[in-house]
Amino acid sequence: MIYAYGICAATAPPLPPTCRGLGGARVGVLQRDGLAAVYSRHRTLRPEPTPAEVLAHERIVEAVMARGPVLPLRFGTQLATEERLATALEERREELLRTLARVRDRVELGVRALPAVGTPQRAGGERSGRAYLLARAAEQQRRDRAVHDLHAPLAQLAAASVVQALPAPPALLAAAYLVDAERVAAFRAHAAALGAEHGELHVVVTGPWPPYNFATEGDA
Amino acid sequence: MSDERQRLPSQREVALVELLDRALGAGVVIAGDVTLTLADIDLVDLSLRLVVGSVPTLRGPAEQRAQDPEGAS
Repeated sequence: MIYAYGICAATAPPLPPTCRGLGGARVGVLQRDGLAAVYSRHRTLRPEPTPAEVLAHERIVEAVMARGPVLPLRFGTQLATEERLATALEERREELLRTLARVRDRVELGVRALPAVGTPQRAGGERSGRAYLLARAAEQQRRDRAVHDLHAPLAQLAAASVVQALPAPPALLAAAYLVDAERVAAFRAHAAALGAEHGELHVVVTGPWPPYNFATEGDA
Repeated sequence: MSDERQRLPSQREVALVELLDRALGAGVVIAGDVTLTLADIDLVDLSLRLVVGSVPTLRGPAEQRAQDPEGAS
């Protein structure tokens, strides 16, 4: 059984031999036609979405990212054999190469905005249907405003961006940005300035992340 | 600087949610014999609990700062 972490260029420098993946497994690289996939072999593996295991996946992806562009695979990607992995690389070679070129020298930043003060959350108490609908509408308005006030200006600093249509409450905005590595500081500064300007929002910028949200061509 | 100290853990919690969102909900999916062991509903639930759990910490410093909660909306 193969567990795969990410895809990079075949020319990427190798990972240090001390790198360990899920379950402490040794990490190997499979090369095919200019592409490389980073993976580990397992007798049995049932990945669980616990923070520890997801972090183990993330650490390998980040180690690859430190050496060049990477396309992170979704957590839980398993294949029967190395040959299956090689076939997957072959089948999508052109798309993978194009996407690798797009994320080169860029990183993904995350922006999440939460209500800064005790604005009414979706309370559990009794509510009339009308009050419920009004509250729903008000919530949608706050999300729209966050997109307008925060996302729109930040998207201008990014090569690409995606917004979650319905961020997990209480977040009003959850968005990802593909940003030139050299513009990360400027992006953070701008986000902080916008957060200060809009005191009703608590703005958190995270990253740099591997480009999970920009790893396939369908992404914005 | 107590604000600073209270904000750091919340930043970490947000980062964890952001990581789970990405690793579980984005990234390249190799079609075919991929085994995704996770049901979507579990992920949403997990992500939700983490965000909600982090709210008091996130709101703490802001509430101390705020003199005038926006009661108007």
